[in-house]
Amino acid sequence: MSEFSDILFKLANGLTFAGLLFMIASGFSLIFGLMRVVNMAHAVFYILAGYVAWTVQEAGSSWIIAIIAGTVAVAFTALLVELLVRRVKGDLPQTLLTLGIGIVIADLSLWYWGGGPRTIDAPDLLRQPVTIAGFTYPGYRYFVLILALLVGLGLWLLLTRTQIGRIIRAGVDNRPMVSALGINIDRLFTLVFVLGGSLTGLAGAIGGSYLAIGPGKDLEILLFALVVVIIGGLGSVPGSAAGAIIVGLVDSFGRSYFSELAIFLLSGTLLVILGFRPEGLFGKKEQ
Amino acid sequence: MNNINRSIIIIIAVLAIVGLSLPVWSSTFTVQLATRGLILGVLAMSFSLLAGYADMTSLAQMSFAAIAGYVVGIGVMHYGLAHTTLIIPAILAATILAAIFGWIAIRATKIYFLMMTLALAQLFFGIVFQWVSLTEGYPGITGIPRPTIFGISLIETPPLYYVTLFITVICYLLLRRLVKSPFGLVLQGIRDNPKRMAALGFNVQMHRYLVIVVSGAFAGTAGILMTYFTGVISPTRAALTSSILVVMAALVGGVSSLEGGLLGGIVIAFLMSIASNLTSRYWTVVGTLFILIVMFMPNGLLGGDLKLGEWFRKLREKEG
Repeated sequence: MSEFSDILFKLANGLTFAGLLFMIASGFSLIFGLMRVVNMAHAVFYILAGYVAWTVQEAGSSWIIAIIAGTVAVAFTALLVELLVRRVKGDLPQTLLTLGIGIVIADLSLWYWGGGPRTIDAPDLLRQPVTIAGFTYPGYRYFVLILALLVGLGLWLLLTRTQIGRIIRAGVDNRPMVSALGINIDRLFTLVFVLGGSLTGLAGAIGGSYLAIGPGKDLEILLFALVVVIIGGLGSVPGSAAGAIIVGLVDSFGRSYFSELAIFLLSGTLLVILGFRPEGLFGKKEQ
Repeated sequence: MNNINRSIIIIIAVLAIVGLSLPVWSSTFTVQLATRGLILGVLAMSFSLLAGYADMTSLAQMSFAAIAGYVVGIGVMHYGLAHTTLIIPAILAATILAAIFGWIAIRATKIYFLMMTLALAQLFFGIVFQWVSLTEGYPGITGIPRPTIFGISLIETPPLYYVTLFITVICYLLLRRLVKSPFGLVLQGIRDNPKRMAALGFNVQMHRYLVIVVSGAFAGTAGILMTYFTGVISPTRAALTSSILVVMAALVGGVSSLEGGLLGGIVIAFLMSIASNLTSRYWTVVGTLFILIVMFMPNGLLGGDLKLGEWFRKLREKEG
């Protein structure tokens, strides 16, 4: 492999990972932007979707059914979590509550699915390597990238072209005002929480085919999601996209050139960006 | 001498007698649990100092404890240094890490602050996990021998317990001094109304920053003790799951007081020991307990939920 195609390969790896991170972080960021809750169970949703998809596939279902099952299972879990979170008042207690919920789900998953890594088999069609302009890359990763772009497009359309999207954006900017206008903010919270959870679920079920799902994976994902939203700016979907691309690339190149110290590179990136823009690339100054 | 002081003196006397005589009348296992509880208590106090007195909920306290532990572990096992020479460098390392974390996290307040400290703590966890040549990665540094400090060997359980008790009391007294000092009062003023304190001419950010650094030193002290106690330092020490125990201890006791942290530390140490005997689903129990505490007793034992604090106040009033 030539040096150029080697760099291209790392670039593509970084972008694929960025696609996955975007799906996880955009929901995380929207939930935070709207509800001011750091959903610590978010990364656990990721592995839960992967586990459920794996089980459904093991039981003999097709890949697509497995992906849907994983996503729906997490959407349902997110709904239950939101109903519980709603019972306490204040963003801090709510955040701590999601922390406790995350631990319980992670531990029960470990109990049920064991400690071994689980990989979801992608369909043969997507497994073929694809060559574009002389550059050969696994087809599944192209698929992940395209899916992330579609999710981004869908979110963009939802947030800019629909009434619900306008309300969500208004809620991120000024929650009391939206509530005062007579909009049922509780229902909006539930909607965004379930939407964000589903996107992470989808990411987990899809990502489970090339990053194995297992105990500890949730913490890794949580770290990446946090760095992405902090870099990108809290509550901003374009920010999540920018943050995901930066983190994806830094991780991909960092791993190959710095091996065991790659995480320093990630920390350094966070520090430099916060040094220049404490509110993140697309973030607004907190009130 | 008035009656208020008398009831406080009685409480202190009872605590002192129980604390000092514990190894005489209880099992080694109980003394070990008490040691663990005291260390957790120091960590919970360092958390409450930030969360309760300065409105900064930090999830990074275990990073400070862990870096102190790593200084001890790496110093003793990799470089063959004496335990005593490592005490100050270990506390210093924790303080410096707190100074770095604080410098970044201070830009944020409230929930943003929590998120920042969480991200920094997770990055630190990632570093100690990945930097295998220095930290030995996932299994960590094991078999760290217990020290002999100023001629006292801490190999047996009782001496380690007494040293931990002594240091816990010192930490408590220092922290108590701090929160009652002009600095501590300014801090509480900032917690209640940062804008007004800024308008009064106080340097709000400097106060917030300094208290983070100070809390790092105390968390580091607890980290050293914990490394002596377990003989191990691994990334688990810096993991989110370890932070949860600290937050839980502080919440159970009540974040609004230092005493709450100490009480919470001991309560949680004993509760968790019972839980780990009953079930192998330890973290499910911890998580469920955590959820219940957040939902039903957000103010903690001393903060008014079980009316314990109020009961003491009434007792004092009656006597006064």
